[in-house]
Amino acid sequence: MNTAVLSARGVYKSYGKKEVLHNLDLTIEPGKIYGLIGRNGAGKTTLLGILTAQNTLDQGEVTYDGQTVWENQRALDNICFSRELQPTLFSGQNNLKVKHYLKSAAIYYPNWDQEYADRLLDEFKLEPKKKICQLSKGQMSMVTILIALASRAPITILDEPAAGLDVVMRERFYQLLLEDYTQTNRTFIVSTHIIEEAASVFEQVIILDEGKIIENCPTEELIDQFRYVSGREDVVDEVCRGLEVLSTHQMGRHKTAAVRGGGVKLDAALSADVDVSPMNLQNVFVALCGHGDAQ
Amino acid sequence: MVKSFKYLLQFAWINLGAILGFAAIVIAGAYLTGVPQGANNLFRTYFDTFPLLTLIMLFLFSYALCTSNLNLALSFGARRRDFFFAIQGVLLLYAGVCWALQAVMSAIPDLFGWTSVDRWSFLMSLGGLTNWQYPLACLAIMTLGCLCGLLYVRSKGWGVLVMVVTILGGIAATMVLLIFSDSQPGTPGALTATILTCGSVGVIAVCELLIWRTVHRFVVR
Repeated sequence: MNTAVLSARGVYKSYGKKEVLHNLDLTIEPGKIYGLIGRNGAGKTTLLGILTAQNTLDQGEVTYDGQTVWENQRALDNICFSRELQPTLFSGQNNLKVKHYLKSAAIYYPNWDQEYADRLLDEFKLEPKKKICQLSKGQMSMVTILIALASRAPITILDEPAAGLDVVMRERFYQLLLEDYTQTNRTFIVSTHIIEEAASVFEQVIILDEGKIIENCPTEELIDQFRYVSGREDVVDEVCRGLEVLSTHQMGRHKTAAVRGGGVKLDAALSADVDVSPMNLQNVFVALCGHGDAQ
Repeated sequence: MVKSFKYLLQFAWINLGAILGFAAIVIAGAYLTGVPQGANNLFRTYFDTFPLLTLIMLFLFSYALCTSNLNLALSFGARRRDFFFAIQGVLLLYAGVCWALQAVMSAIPDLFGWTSVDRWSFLMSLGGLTNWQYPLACLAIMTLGCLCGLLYVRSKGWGVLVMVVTILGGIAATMVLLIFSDSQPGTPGALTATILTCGSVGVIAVCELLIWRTVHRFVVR
């Protein structure tokens, strides 16, 4: 089993005057499935690019098994970052064919599983001779998934793997991911916007907001800290006193508050004349990163 | 570096195949349309100006080498340093194959007794494996193509500017080189050829330096 840790320390990254990542620290432990979630422009792809030395950093350090990742072949051999494919590349069509992607992946990834790749190619009904620009969004995601799974890299990162996939295919992807994880126990980092579907797959969730990691903990543990408290306005206000109120929603005298807290205070709320209901990961994400936009 | 070279070879064979295929079509077309007997047609023009056509094709191939090929390699975990050195190997391969092709094409009229061999002066002045100015021109145009691709990714304006300058400069330099290629040592023609040769070496050196710096900071899209 792989025991190497991927770690980022004090990472800063800016594009021109816009600072994208601020003093970011992150540790990716082996044998876990991480979910990386954040709003558009939060810096997810930039972070993943920096972790895999595909992007440069302004300050800080990224290490794998204690050694810097930048230009380190041993580290790069162990990390696969399967990016979301684009139909256009550098202002022109992406004329590379599926087979070019697969051949290239086979050259670079030392643990590449050709048999598995062929099986997935067959299952996904992908034509190797088709150009990337001729594929549908869903088919591009299938190529991303295929490369990530067949790479057999100890640390495998997928950027928006479910984008454009229909619900059946998404289910199949999560199934394949879990099957692979059970067999190999390798580390996966999955960046996605389809949070609720993927939540049950994530062992640990990382929430990135405006270039900062605001949460990095086991999914269940995180969800368990949040509740919706709803009822008469004055009662809800009374109950929520002392709890961290993340957002509120009011209809007439009925008020719903998204709160964070646990233990005694939440127990007190349960005995009051209010409804206390659990939140799912998507609700937690909206409460933490919505900044009032979704209220 | 071996991985990156292997990776680039899969594209290089396709590109070289295209050049060789094009050469075969031009030779066959010229032969079948009576060019050896003195016919003046499109195939004669293509045959005679093949050195220039090859340079244009090399420019396009090297452009892709430093855009989509580089991007894909780095996204699969290639080291930037390795990719840079693999590029050098592929550029030498391209230059070598095109040089050999040039030698073969310029030898054809003489070898097969085509009439009015002197009609092919344009082509033959660059022919032969002893004329190392042609592979030098290939390397210069390819390093410019590579740099052009890298600059275009960062700034379209700079990319287009370098592309236009390269095309115009390449054509002008080839013409001047052709005009003075037969000049004797010590004459103004030979001096111009020497200056152009030194200029090509300078262009290659500057481009390589810029390519190294740009590849080293390249961000995968």
